[in-house]
Amino acid sequence: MTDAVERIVNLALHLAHAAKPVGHESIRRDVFGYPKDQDEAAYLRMFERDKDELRAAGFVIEANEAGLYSLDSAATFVSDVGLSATEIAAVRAAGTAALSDPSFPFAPELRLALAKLASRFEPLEVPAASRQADESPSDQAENAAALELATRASKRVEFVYTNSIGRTAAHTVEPYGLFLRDGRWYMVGRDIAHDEPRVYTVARMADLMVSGARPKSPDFSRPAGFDVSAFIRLPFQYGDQEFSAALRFDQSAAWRAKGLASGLGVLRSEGDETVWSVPARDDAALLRWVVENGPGISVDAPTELADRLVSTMRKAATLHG
Amino acid sequence: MAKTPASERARRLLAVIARLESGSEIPLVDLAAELDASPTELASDLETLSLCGVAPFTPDEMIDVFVVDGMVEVYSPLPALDRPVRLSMTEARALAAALQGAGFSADDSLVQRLEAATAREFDAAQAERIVRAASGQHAKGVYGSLAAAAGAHRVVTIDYESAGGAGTSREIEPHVLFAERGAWYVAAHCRLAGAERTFRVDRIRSAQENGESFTVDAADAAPRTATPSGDLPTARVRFDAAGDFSARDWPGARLVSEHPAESGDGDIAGPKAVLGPLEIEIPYAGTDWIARRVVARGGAVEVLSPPDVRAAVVAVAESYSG
Repeated sequence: MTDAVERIVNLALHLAHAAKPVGHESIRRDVFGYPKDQDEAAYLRMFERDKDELRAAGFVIEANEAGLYSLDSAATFVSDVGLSATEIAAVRAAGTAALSDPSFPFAPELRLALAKLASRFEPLEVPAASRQADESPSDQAENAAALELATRASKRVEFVYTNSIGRTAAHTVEPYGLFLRDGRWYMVGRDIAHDEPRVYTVARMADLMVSGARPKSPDFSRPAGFDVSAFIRLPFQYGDQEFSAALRFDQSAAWRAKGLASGLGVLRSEGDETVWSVPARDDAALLRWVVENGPGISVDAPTELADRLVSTMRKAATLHG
Repeated sequence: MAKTPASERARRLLAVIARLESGSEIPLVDLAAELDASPTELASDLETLSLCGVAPFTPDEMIDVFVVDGMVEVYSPLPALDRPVRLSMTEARALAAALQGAGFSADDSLVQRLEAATAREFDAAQAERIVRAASGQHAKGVYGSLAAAAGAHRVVTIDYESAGGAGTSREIEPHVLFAERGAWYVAAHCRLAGAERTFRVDRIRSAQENGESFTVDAADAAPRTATPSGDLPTARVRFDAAGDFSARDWPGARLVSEHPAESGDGDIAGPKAVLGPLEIEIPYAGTDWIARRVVARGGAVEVLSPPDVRAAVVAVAESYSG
């Protein structure tokens, strides 16, 4: 019996080679691998599965009104990407690093992506590595990959969750999105029991199950305009009482403001300096952030926080003096 | 070991088939590593590929690929599929996530141009609204310049703003780029310091090759961590009752004092937070790094030793308090 791999590759070659649309009868005749003694219905099921495999691999197969198949070459094949040498090196470094990272959830697909692009890139091996998660990275990757699939397919998930104070409970959630921050993957979704969007730490989940009911039908609709970045916070944005803070990046640090702001708050230039207006909820954490990311960053507002930064620094200097 | 499903094996072959140009020779082990397959399994799949072709399956309509002495060799042009297939939606999302992790978001021109290689319905901005594997951003071009220089073993001049506040221009020989908990670093031989140094990429303002090359050995390009503990100096640090010690914040930290909630010396595993007066040994790669982290915790943390770290703490603190 012919290997299914051989049949699928032969089908891809046949469609790519065909000068005009082809019917499934001629495919059965001309593509080596379809059993000649197979009944029609079984052949058609096998053909449908093979087409699905090719579509999953990136082939755009079209059927015309007469039921003839052809490959949309422009939609199937890569045109010139036009990256510079340093951009190609950046892609290689990012890819190599992600593939080395046990917490990266999409390694098999990334590997195929890089393999495809390799024919368009000059050969260059870039030493790079990554370890974004420090807690059970492989488990986080496995759960994040399953959650991403559930998110794309709009399927509910069930899991047992242990929160930060050690309370364990079962949850059923409609997953909307995922984000990675400070070494942890998080899932945002509507908790069915609470009927509100919540953020869950993926590393705190156990016994994750994706709903298997009606696998090709979505269980829910993601809210229009959903953007997972709205749920990503900086360390000083957790707490009860929100206040407005303004941080100043002096001339030496202004170039770092955009990267450090991570798309949050509002940046505005004042001469050579930049002022970042950003909501905050934890004054101690905000001061810690200012110092850890310095030098060249200071607090403009609230003024009492600016004063506290100075007094706290005096205390530290005295302690070590 | 479980046999790889046929669909996965077919996808691997279809991903690399366009690279099988007539006359090409590719080491089997390299291609296998790239595809996360064993050389034996890939050799078997390439043998299957050599049986593939288009009707009428005459020799010139077959894929003329063979594995000879560990090399994948191709003797004639492919009958079809000689151009790479665009990335599928899932492949494109995976690549976008990897690039996000390196600081390239959907609005970056690099990501936008890569959309020419992806399924037409792929929308990087939309994908980013669902999954964000983001790290902080870097100064434009810095990451790519460092990556290219590390790959080609070329010397780079960087403008670096250290945590200590000194802006310096340095020539570095970049060995490896690595990411850890959201931050990217480059491990390099620094010609200014005359020693191996680790630089945070988001503190590098510009990076420009200077035309010189350097040589590396295998150890130089080995994966790194930002906080290796083996051969680094350590500081003894005291956290008071409000010190808010968390092992996650101080990688490689080692408890050296007794505490009612702990039992004896030893590595502090996991993210557990503990309270109370503690003496901790903390490995550090840069004096400025540890000084700034200590100062950031106000007077709740005190460096007991060494003296140069204590002095660095005073200098950082006085830069704020005058």
